Amino acid sequence: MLSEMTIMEKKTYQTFRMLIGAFVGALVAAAVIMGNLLLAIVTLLLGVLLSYFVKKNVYEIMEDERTSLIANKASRMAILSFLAIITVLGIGLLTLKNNFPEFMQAGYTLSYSACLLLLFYMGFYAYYDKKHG
Amino acid sequence: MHIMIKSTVKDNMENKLKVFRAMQDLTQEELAKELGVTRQTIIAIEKDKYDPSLILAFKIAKFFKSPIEDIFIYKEE
Repeated sequence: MLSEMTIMEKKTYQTFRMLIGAFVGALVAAAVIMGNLLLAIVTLLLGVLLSYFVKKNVYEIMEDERTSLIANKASRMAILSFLAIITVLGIGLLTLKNNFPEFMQAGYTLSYSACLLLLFYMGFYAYYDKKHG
Repeated sequence: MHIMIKSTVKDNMENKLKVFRAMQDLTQEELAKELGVTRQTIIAIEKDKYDPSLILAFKIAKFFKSPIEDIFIYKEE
């Protein structure tokens, strides 16, 4: 079916992307319920491959400098918001460890995740700063 | 020590892209295709919601065979 579709319009691409998303989501959910890690990984890889193949066949321009700028801003905001939330939540859970010791592990996990995310952010920031500096 | 200097002058860019496009009788879609950008980008530039990169501004100027400052006007407020 995909081989016949050498040239694709943006709307068709969006429909395919939605279908792929639904297919991958459903299969990954099924794999998680069944406890089948291999199926989940294979499905995710298949989804990435299918998305790449479908995107390659779109003749319309989908991305340009404006969409890159929007993506950059959205990514930065998403990362920083997420970082702020998990930091506050992690520290909050750790400070309550005397009253709620069952949440201590979650607090540590969130706090270490926040540190890791911050390290990644700083690392990539330094890399791109050097690259474009 | 980092010193941050905040400019009190508000930079503003205006453009005449819509006028130039109309003179050539082109649709936003056609112009977008010619420039290799999305139609939304042309719309955003025309509405002064997005300032194009220097490269895209030069591409636009080259396409309309006009000096860049005829299409894009820099204003200090």
